[in-house]
Amino acid sequence: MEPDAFDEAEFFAALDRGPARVLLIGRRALIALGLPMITADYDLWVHIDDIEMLNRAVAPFDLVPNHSPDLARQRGRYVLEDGEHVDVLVARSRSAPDGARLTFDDAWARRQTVRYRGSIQIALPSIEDLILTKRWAMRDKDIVDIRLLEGLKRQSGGSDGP
Amino acid sequence: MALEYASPELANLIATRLTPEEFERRARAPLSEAEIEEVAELVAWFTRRYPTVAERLAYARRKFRQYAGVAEPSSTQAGDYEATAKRLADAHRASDPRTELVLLDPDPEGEIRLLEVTGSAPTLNQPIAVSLMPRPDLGVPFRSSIVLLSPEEWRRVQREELALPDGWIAARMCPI
Repeated sequence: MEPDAFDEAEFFAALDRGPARVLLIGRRALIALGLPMITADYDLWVHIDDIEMLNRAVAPFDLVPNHSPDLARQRGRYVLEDGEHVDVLVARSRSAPDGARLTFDDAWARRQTVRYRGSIQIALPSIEDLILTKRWAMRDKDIVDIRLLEGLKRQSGGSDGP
Repeated sequence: MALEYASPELANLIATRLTPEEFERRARAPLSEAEIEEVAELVAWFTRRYPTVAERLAYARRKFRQYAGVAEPSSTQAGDYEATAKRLADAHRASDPRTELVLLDPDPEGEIRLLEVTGSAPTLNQPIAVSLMPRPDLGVPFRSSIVLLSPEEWRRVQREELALPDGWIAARMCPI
């Protein structure tokens, strides 16, 4: 196999060591739960108070934030980028167009963890909360993801967790 | 539900935004038993073949690189079924040196169906096709599907002891 310049295991280990509260969202979260997909980017949701800690944690990977923490807080998102592209959501909460609201604190309290490899853990929103995140943008591709997550939920007997 | 979920994230750029009403209608449509079974089958296949999260994410990275790697066709090549199939097959071989054989199953509806025999695939005896959406921005304007088989599984297919997914016909496949 082609070697990976980006050390993904070390990246997730750095997130796992904390102390930043960070959730993996987006399609990589679905892949982690067992749904085969292809994706280019990483999507993270970080607690609004923990941006600086996250930036410090990923600095060894040459991931550079495109905005200062203060500006990222104002804009609600920023990007960590070098060879990899990491979209970081910063919002305290987000709402779907139908008004369904998800706060970071709630998603964090209900999070599930999956073992990446060895002792490295990745924090993900619960399946129900992942479905909520997929309702934010109302893209047609999100419909597919929502239905896959619903199927996964049904498969696991309606409960979250891999 | 068609197996259209294996599309690269760059599809964000060309993703269609729906009206709230249309989004709700489609998102809230009840899942059929067939859809639930399909998800279960997919998850079972994926987690058996790639038991750890690290392996699953590595698969996604590999597949994305394969797609990105074929994104340099000329405009005339881009619409050519066989040329696109060949570039996909070459990209897959490049990313998995243990690939022994790549066969194209010409599909009358223009889907690129590749059957790949590789020593890096475990023997699960449960062939399943993973489908990818067209990516014209990456030089792949055709829908594509891939079945990965271990050499042992391929031998069983040839002996007609193991069935390929519905619609896949080994007899009409040709090396590419």
